[in-house]
Amino acid sequence: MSNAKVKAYAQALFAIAQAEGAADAISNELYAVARAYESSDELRNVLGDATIPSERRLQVVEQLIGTRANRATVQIVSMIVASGQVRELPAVFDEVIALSSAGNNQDLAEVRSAIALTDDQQTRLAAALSKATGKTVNLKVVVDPSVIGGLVATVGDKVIDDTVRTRLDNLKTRI
Amino acid sequence: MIKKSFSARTEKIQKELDDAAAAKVTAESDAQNIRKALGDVAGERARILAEADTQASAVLAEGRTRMTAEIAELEAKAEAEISAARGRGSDELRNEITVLASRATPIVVAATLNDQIHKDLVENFISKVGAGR
Repeated sequence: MSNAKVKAYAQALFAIAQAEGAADAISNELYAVARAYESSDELRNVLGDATIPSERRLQVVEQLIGTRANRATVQIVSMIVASGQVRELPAVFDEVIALSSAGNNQDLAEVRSAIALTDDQQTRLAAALSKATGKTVNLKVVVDPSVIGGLVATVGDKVIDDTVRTRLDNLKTRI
Repeated sequence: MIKKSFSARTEKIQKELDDAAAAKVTAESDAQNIRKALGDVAGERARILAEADTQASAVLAEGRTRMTAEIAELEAKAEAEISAARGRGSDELRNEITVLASRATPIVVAATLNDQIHKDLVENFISKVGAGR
């Protein structure tokens, strides 16, 4: 899917979320779905397997988020899965959250951490990132064990990386 | 009659003696010739042996020189191969150690990071970012 098509999908889905009157909540849920999709091989295999009947894949979506997410969120995810564009799900949903952030005059700040952050840490981290970038940020924390330790923050094109993984990679390159 | 018979006998004996003397001279001459021939054969034999010795020595010397050169060449080749193999082995070992270390390090490091260290890393990040890095 081209970048323009991803943006077009995202704008359409964001319009649906706005029409539901829960743009932020739905965007956040879509963002969470995207991260779950990225981190689970099993989920990717099931949702992306064209040999599995569409009904069965939609049942999986329903079982995963049917009772925990906004109804519109479930329908949006189902639509993406049914359309055969599930591989583009993270890119489309990331664009949705970016639109949502922009709508609130914020920049999306995605932070990857080896551990879950407390509310207090997230508040101070958001403030620090806002100060560093000069922008109000919409902080999204993704628990990603592959960073090993520390954090990496992406705000727009700016990446602030202080992870153990990157330090080890740098060390490996030097060796 | 008797005298005639005696004379004939004497002549015959004398002839036999003359023949014997002549035969002796011939035999001595033949013996001398044979000795001379034998001397020549021995000389020829000695000459041939000496020549064979010379040729054998030359062949031996040439073979020894060639063999020495070949041995030196083989030794040089073997040493070069051993040196190359040593270098190769060293490089391969170094690469293998690097690969193993790079695989093991994240696991070892991750295992050593306790909650406090994780917390410190997060706090350090927030402080640095907040300070404008």
